[in-house]
Amino acid sequence: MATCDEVKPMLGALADKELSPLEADAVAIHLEQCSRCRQIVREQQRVQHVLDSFQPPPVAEGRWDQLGKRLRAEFEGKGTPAKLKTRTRIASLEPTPMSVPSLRAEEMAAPFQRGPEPPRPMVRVPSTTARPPAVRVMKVRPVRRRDGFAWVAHVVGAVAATIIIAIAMVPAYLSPVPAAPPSAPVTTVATVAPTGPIALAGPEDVSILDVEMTVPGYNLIVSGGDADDVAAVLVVPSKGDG
Amino acid sequence: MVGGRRQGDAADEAAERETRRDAALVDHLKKGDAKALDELYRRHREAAYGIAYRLVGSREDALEVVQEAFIHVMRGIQTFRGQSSFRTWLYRIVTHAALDYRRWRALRVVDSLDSDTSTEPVAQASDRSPQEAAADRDLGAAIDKALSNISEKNRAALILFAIEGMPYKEVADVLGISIGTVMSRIFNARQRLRELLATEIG
Repeated sequence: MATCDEVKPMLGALADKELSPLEADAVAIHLEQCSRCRQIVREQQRVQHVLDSFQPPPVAEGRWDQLGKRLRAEFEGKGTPAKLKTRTRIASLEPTPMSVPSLRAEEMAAPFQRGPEPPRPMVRVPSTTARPPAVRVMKVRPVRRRDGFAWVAHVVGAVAATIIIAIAMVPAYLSPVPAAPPSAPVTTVATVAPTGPIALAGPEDVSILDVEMTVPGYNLIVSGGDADDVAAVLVVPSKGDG
Repeated sequence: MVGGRRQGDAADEAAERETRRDAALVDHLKKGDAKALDELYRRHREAAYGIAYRLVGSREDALEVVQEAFIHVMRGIQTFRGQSSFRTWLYRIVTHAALDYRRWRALRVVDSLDSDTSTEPVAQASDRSPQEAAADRDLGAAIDKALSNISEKNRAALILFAIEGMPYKEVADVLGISIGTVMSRIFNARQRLRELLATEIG
């Protein structure tokens, strides 16, 4: 028989008739033996009954018309466009038809979905950069290789990146760079030149989710990429540092 | 049982018709037809207001949220791809707009506390009409107050299901969470309400 902790999250759904027959049966068996959970179901039903009778204060028809006219004027471009108090990107939040654990998880999974290779974003580096910041990839976790010949590209990329890193890191070594925590394994995979393009490539199957980058005085934004490498990093000076 | 199933089928067909009508209106709106906007507004304004009211807790604020939500619809209609129903999209906009509005409102309160020069004071209890003040004493006011004391996430799920009558699946779509999460949020919200309304509901 299922325990109280196992059935507890389903007690509300049982009261709402939102469980599958299989789930409902499992909960029903538990309820036959457990008076405390039966009490919780009754409480859920009682609160729901109170909510069912709860209506917001009515709005007069004239008020609705007034609001409708304002919307129509906005739509037709009459008068000054409304300055919104809520964020403008709200309208872009179209739900997807598939059921996903959460928006964040869906967004995080997107780079791992195989498909046509999207164009890689351009990397812009501020020309006012005083010295090349070092980009350090920390907590690198190896992931399973899925492409038959992807390793060739990685080897070439790693060799190119190593050369560029070696050249570009020279000035950086002349000034102190914040040391990584001694316990965290650190692998330097890229360096940003002051005016040139960024060279960034995972040495071997670097998961973008495990990348943490720190550069004092800069905000680094990782964009693009897939399961095997990091596509690009946007380097933006922190506002506080002028 | 058969009768119940027929009733359920009829309800599904009606919902399907409503969805198709919305989709047709959205197509017209994308082409710039203002009448389509009027009809979409008429069809959904009450439900949008119901959600907004339970999330912001005042009629005036809720109406402002409804207005902003429909402006978001107008401005974003060309990006709406029809992957969900218009109703789900709109409710999602209303929910996000209402939660955003609450944050904006909270900042206004902080500002007005920092400086008394604010020209647009926030609604205070004293702004209410005698009828509204009297309503504070009834169950509706107690529910309002209790709803404002549960977490935003749990409240949004509860309102969409318990008050707007959406099934768990649609609540999950609107909020972008899994059905399991909807289940636990609604359960937790009602348990919290039971504590807060212990006097009123016994």
